[in-house]
Amino acid sequence: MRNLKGVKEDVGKIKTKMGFMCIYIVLILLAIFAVTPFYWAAVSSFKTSSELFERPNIIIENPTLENYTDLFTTTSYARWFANSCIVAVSYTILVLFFSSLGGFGFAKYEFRGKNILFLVALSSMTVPLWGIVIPLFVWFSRLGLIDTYWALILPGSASAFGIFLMRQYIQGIPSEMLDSARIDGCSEFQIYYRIVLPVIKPALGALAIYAFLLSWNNFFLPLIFVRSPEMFTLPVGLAAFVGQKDPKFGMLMAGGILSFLPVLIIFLTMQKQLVAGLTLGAVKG
Amino acid sequence: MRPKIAPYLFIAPFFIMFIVFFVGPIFYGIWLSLNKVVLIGKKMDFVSIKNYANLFSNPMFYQSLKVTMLFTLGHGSTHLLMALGAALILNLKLKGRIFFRSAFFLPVITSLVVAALIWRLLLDSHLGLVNMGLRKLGLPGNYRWLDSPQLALFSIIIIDNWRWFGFQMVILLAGLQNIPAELYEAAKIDGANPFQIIWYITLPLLFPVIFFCMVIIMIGSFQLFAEPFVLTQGQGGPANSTLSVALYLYQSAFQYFKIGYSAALGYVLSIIIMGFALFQMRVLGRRAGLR
Repeated sequence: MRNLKGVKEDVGKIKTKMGFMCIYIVLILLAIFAVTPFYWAAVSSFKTSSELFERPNIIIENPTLENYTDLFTTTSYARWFANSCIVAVSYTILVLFFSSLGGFGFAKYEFRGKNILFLVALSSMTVPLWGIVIPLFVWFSRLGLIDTYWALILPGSASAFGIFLMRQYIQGIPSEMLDSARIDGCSEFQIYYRIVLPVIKPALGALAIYAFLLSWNNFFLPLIFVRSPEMFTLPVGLAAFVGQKDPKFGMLMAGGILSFLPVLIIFLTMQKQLVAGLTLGAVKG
Repeated sequence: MRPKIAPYLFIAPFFIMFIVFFVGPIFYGIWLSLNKVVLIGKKMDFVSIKNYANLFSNPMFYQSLKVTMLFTLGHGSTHLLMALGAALILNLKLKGRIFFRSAFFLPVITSLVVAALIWRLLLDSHLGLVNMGLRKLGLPGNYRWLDSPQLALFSIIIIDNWRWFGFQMVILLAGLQNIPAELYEAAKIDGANPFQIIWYITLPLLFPVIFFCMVIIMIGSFQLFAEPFVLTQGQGGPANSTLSVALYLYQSAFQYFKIGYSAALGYVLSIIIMGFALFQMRVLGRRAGLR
């Protein structure tokens, strides 16, 4: 009897061992699928073009920085990088300001039309970009805003998701805290600035990452609102390259890797807020 | 007195931007879609619904709709399965799961343009890693992934699966962690094997989250643009096999300068996408009502 049980247990162990093996094989295959493209891009960016084209290999024979120097000497990459930074940082600041201020108004005050206004703002989350890009383009052309930073920063700065998130967070702040500040003589704006903002820092962090990524990776808006190459952002500049005959893959990969670096740094240092910001952002759909 | 004005001042900046850059363009778009725009800002002829009539009689529109639906089906089904598998495994609290989760999430933060660039190199028919690997395995390895009409859309599906499965996985993982552990314990005591547990307990309880993922996949897939744009230089080729609706909209507006027509197309695309969102709200609302 005991023997039989022992055998059964062994079989069970082998079964779970096999199961674990299978599971890890699946995981490793998926990880290879996820990470190999990055590895290949990074490796290719350090290869000479002859090595890249004639002897494609997973290791580098003669590592070179030629692609990176070419990127900065033969293209306006540095300018595009600066443009992307200016646009993404300004956009993020605007989103944080409008959302936190508006979220505070909706969370802590009673006023006429409050619910209707909030609903209208929220319902805008279901409307995709495609319904408004053409009129925006016509309108920006008329106002002479094509080829300016304004055209890249202002659309979408009234983020319904942002105001929703901020309202949720600010509702959690006890009203007594605000009242006691009022008694101490704080104006309403001072309450926002001195009390609300410091308390909602974690939420602001998640929203900031969400907004920054959205703007940094945005392709369609800069593609249509920008005409002259010196106003390109990184995605538009890189996309323009690949259209050329015989694109220089090494240089393209160098450009791609460099444009990915800021995002990677955010990912490595603030992974939790980043994942939270992005997935909450999707929930808006 | 002050607190009465204060909230309006607080929400004013948001609503000014909201009206100028969102509500305004929506209504202006309706007007544009009813006009033939001859010169931007200079000359417009009112044509009533002619743009819409042209749209619905244009075979290119149906081609783009077909491409977009094929993409949505192919990409949606396959990468949801991948994400579900990965989420179920990572929910097992195995060693190294943090590493795997991070690795799977890495593509999600890549810009679509960079994703397309990297895969343009990987899928190159001569020096691409994919064909090279296939040759090493003794397979033909001469597939023209990006410039044959049979494979181009399939390649974009692979790229998007790579880009997005980590994202759905994180959402599904959050859903899995909300399932009470006692249910699993009870099933184990009753002698259920792991597959029965997944089939009879996990999946039914996870269904609302899976449904949510399906809807955001549909909303996202219908906006397919950057990948075919970058990979085909804005042409949607070969033979229009990767011409998505959004890419067709771009072409109509910025290659053929049919502004009124593309405004109409933008409206139709938006209504389709909003349909998914409303459908989701209704279903979720009904579930909430039942509870």
